[in-house]
Amino acid sequence: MPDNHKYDSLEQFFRKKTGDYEIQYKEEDWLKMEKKLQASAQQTFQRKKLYWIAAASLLILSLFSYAVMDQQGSFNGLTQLFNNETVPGAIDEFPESSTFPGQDQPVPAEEPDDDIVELDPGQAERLTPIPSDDIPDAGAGLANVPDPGSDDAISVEAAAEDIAVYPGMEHLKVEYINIRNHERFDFSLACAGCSLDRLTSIHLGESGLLKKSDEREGTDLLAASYQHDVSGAVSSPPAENVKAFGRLSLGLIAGPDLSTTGSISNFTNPGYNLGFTVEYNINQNLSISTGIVQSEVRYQALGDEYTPSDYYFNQGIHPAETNAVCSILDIPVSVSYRFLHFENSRLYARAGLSSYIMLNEEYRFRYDIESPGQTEIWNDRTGTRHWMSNASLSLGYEVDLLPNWSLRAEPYLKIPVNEIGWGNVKLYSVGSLLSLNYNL
Amino acid sequence: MFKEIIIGCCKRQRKSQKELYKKYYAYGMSITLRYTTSREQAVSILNDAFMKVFDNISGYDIERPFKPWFRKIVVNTAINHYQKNSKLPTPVSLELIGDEIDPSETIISGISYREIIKLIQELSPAYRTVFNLYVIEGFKHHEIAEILGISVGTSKSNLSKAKRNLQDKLEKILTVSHQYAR
Repeated sequence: MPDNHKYDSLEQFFRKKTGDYEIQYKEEDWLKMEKKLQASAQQTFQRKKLYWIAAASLLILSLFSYAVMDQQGSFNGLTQLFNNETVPGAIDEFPESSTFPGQDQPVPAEEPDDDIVELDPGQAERLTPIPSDDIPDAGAGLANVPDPGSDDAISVEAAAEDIAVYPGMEHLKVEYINIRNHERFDFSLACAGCSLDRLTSIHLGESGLLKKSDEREGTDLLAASYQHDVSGAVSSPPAENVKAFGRLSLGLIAGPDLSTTGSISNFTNPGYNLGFTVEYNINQNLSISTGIVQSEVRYQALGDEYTPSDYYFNQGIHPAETNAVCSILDIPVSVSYRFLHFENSRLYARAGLSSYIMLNEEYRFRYDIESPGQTEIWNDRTGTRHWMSNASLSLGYEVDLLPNWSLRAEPYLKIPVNEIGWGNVKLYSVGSLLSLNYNL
Repeated sequence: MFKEIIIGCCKRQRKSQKELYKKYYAYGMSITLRYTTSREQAVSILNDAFMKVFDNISGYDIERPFKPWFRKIVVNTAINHYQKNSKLPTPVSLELIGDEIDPSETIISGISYREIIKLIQELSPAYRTVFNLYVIEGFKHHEIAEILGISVGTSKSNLSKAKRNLQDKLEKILTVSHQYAR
């Protein structure tokens, strides 16, 4: 104690007397303490659980993305394989005499072929048949595919080599050539830069009409021609990896929600989101969307983070903690941009604003100082509207399930623009939305 | 023995936590009673202080005495409570821990602990807090000013008024006791 205190008798008196305390222990006070400890342990457990859920979700999303990417990689690998190799038993097994296998076999009479498809005039106009002068010498081009049974097997083989090194083959439209063999011996000629999955490509070239490949009937593509797009005369189709998009998309969305006030921390139990969205695609990368989502939001507000406009609390004693469960109608308006396209999937970023309509608000209060008449619970269907009260940012991954169906996973973050609810809180939310979309 | 209790508290064992609570309950209450106007408030502050103790027990150096470390936490918790509620209207009804003054113990040296606490509790929160920090805890005025966010002049003024009030109350008790003694 400082020396200047000791000469004041009043101070000495009080100091001495307050040191002679005789206070009986009360078990009920420990029971109150124990409740606090249990609540704290429960909070810690919930927080750890949420961290584990977040980590597991991230892991699942990563594995999912890896699986899709891996599948994409395998597909590309197969393509590469077809481009670099011939079918076993094909070129290498050609007899040195270069006679075409089965060429001595009688060729069946040409049957009327209903499979031959003619291009419509619009399509034909887009195609630029390659003048024969433009075809390199060694590369006779696929326009001059030998008829089955002909002696031109060598030229076909030569053509294959040339095509493999021919510059500017990136836009070769012809997928492959199969030469029919009555003994079902197939010779496949792959071409560099082709997409072998485009088996339904149909072109009109100098060689005439083409036949569509139909594996079920064992019918091979007899001949094909190609378009050489070095000059760019032919308008290229969109990048092969971009899916042709419809204008409108309808989605059913669901997912967990974690909300809090004040900052991104101190989450309690998760709530949920469930609703519908409508998306309009402006182009293949940009779209706008809106919808209606019902959300159950659970959060905990401390002290002055919860401020009802009326001076509501008894004797002005503010609760130390407010636990809220609110049912909200969320009307989001957002813009999304697809920035990375894969074969059957894409990554996108979204930004938008949410308007909230409070359907039901329930609050439970905990006080540091207990006194009679304190409000412990408040509940009402307030119906208050808070327009553009929260901004949202998200990153999503969409994968195509079927031609018109897709699945999206979209983790999001919402930050408050304005206060909402009866308690005028600034609500932060994080979560993840899974949506099933139908593209019209 | 005490070391085992602390180790048990570090492991969040309920039994060890209760042992520590019981051991320092009276000491803690003797502090918090001086900063509040009711026993319930005192218990609430004490429990908040113990929560901080249990949350930070792993940071406590077991080689050093526990009481000063515990006292510091309790006093800080009491000050935080005062600062949170300093702008709120003072509750009208005060629950005092003491019974009525026993006429047989009215000379000043015979005033009991309970009565002393009652006198302190009757002070206004600002006077009471400064009085506790200066007289009982031993802080200097510039330290009190920093802790409470007031000026040194206000700290001195509040202490002076607190002492005057207590002096008046003690004189009243003396006057009453002399009348009874006759």
